[in-house]
Formats: sequence, C-alpha cells, structure tokens
Amino acid sequence: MKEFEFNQCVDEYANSVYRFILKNIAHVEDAQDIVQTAFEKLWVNRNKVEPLKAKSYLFTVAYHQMIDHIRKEKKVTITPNYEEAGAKATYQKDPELKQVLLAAINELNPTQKSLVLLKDYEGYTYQEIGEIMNLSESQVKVYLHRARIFLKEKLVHLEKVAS
Amino acid sequence: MNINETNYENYFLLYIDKELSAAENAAVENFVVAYPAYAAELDQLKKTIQAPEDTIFDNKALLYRLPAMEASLSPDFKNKLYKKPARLFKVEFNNQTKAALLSVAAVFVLLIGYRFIETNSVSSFNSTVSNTVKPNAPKLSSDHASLEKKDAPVYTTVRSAPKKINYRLSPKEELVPAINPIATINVQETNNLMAQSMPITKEANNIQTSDLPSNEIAQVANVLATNTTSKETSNVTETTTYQVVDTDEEDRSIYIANFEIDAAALRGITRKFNAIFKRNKSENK
Repeated sequence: MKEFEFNQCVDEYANSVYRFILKNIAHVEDAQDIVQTAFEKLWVNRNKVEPLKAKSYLFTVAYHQMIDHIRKEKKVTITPNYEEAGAKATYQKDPELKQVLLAAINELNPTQKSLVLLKDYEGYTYQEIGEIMNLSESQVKVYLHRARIFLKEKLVHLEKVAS
Repeated sequence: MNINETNYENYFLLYIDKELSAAENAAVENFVVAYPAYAAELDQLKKTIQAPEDTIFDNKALLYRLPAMEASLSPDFKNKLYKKPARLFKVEFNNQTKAALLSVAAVFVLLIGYRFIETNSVSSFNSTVSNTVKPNAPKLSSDHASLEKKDAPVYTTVRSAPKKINYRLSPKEELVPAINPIATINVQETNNLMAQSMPITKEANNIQTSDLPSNEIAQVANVLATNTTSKETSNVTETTTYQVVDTDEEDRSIYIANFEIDAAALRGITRKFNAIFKRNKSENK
C-alpha cells in the first residue's frame, strides 16, 4: 500500500470506522483515539495489507482495540431509559423510531451490538463479520438472529403499549 | 428450498440480512404474499434494521500521511522510538572475581575491626584518667612548724600562705578546689621564703649575705626546701579529704563498639532485673 492509497483509505473509511466505534462505546474522544490507533496500525503494516482488504483490516483492528478499551475501562454500555424514549416515539411516530431502535440496540450485549452495527451500517456478510470479530460464520448467524428477535420484540412491545 | 410456517423466521432473518440468493429472496417474497399473516412479522424485522446515518470523523488531518512528515524524520530517529527488548547482563563469578570480592570484604572487616579496637582503647584511657586524677592529697596545715637550717643557726618561723590548685577531672566537671600538698612547693616559693628569712639571719649572726653569690643562695634554698619537706611530713598529722563521686551524672554513657548507649537508661533496666531476682530469691527462701 502506497501513501496515496493510505490517504484514500482515510477518506473512504475513517467515517464508517468512527461511526462503528462511536455507536459501540458512545464516547467521542475514546472513539477518535481508537480510530487513530487503527489507522496507525494500518500504516505500520501497509506493506502487508492489500488495498482491497484495508477496510476489513481497519474494522478488525478497531474492533479489537475497542474490546481492549472496554475491558480496561470496564465501561458499561449506556442504557438510556427505554420506557421514556418509547413513550416519546409513540407520539411522534417514525422520526422517533430511529431513537427507539437505538435505545433498544444499547440494551444488547457488546458482541450483538457490534454484529448489528457491522451488518446494518457496513453491510458486511456473515463471513466478513466473522473475520473481523474472530467468530465463526454460524456463530455470527446465531448471535445476530438472537439480536434481531430481541429488537423486534422490543418494537412490538412498544407498539402494543402505544395502541 | 421450502419455506413453511416452522422455518419462516430463519428465512426472514436471512432475508433482511441479505444473506439469501436471488432465488431464495423471491421464495421469501412469494411466501409473504401467500401467507399475509406473516407479512407484519417481516415488516417488524425490517424495522430492526438501522437506517444508515452520517457520522463524520473531524480529525482526518491527523490520519493523513504526508510525504513531508515522513521525510522529516530520519530513519535513525524512528529506529530509536521503537521498543527494544531490555538487555540482560549475566554476571559470572569465576575464581578471580570471587577472590577480588573476598579481598574487598576482608579489607572491610579489617577496617571495622581496627575501628572497634581504636574506640575501645580510647574509652579505657578515659576511664583510667578519671580514676587516677583525684585530689585526695594530704592537707597542709596553715601553721608551719619552725624551720631548721643546718647551715644557718638561726631558726625562723615562716608562714606560707596556702596555695590553691585547681584540678580538672574531666572537661565537663566543675573545678574541684584542694589545698596543695607539701610536695608541690616549688623553688620559687622557697626563694621567697629565703628572702623573708634573710634579714633575720643577718641580724642574728651578722653574716654578710650580700657577699654570697646567687647560686649559693639557690642551693641553700633547695636544701631548706628538702629539710622542710621532711620535717613537715614527719611532724604534721595528715588529714585526708574525700571527694564525693557523683555516679548519677546524666551524661554517663557506655560504648559498645561504636554505639553509644545511655547508661542512665540501662541502669533502670538492670535495677528492675535485680529487683526481680531478689524477689525470686526471697520467695524461694
């Protein structure tokens, strides 16, 4: 990987890596630090990483950095008051659905959360997610499906409460 | 591929995750059309997909690699920044190093021993000095007996004023006054004595003392002094003075090697020990 290719990676992937991390840890400075570390590592290993694999490499490094960070900080994922957010959503309908969903996602465990984020935001396949998160394809499938059903039930529950 | 009411959920999940082939996607869509009751469930699952949102990483400038930045750092400098494993120094003790270490240790032991002996000798010297210098010399009575002279036939009575000599026992101790013994009467004093006695001698025997040379006078004085001494010691009853030695001084200290130990503090402990043993003895009896 040459210098201009690396800078291209910054342009293309910095935002998505940052979004992925920020959604997970909900801390701007820490998320920025993790992104920076990921790009540092990419630069150090630029001769080993193929340009086409750069994105998944970045996500892999960032994900593991994030896990380390969570372990170090022992940060509990922020779980905002779900009932309040849900009640609001029922009155304002669709624009608030996003917030409700976000609140529900924050109730997932870190692995499920990362799975959902990688799938929905980045559109990675089960296999790619498995590579990034060091899981088997079937594990990704099972964990992700559990997360989906959990989220669906949360949304159904809210609709019932609203109606 | 067969989607039915038991396995539809799995297909729905794979459908929304876009993990199905085109044919499978079509099969799921057909199933929903065939069974509208499940359409709502598929819609619910679709709602769990998060709509993409734009999050912008502001500090991209930090991430870019510029040629100037890279070039500005020399490879030597960058090499310095890399972490290197710490060097381990292995010390091997061969016979030579062992001998060297032992000799150093021996020198230390000798030095300490020498210092120990030195401090011991100094403390013993101090103790002997304090023992010997005690002013319990015999007191000279102020009334001297009449002096006899072999050469001069005239007897004269001379009163010599008692002279006070100060003895210093130790630098810290108070000056202890004591009356000088006879033995310490010096030649100077006897000369004065002579000078006083001379006029009387002159009157009695008409001896021309002026003709006598000064050397002879000195000789006479010496003889006089010795005679006086012998007379005095034989005649005067000796009185002995006793000095009260204060053992409760605060600055008494015992030296064990180089360590100064407060004797006053130790005394308390030894007394307690003694008391205990005495008590035990009496109990045994």
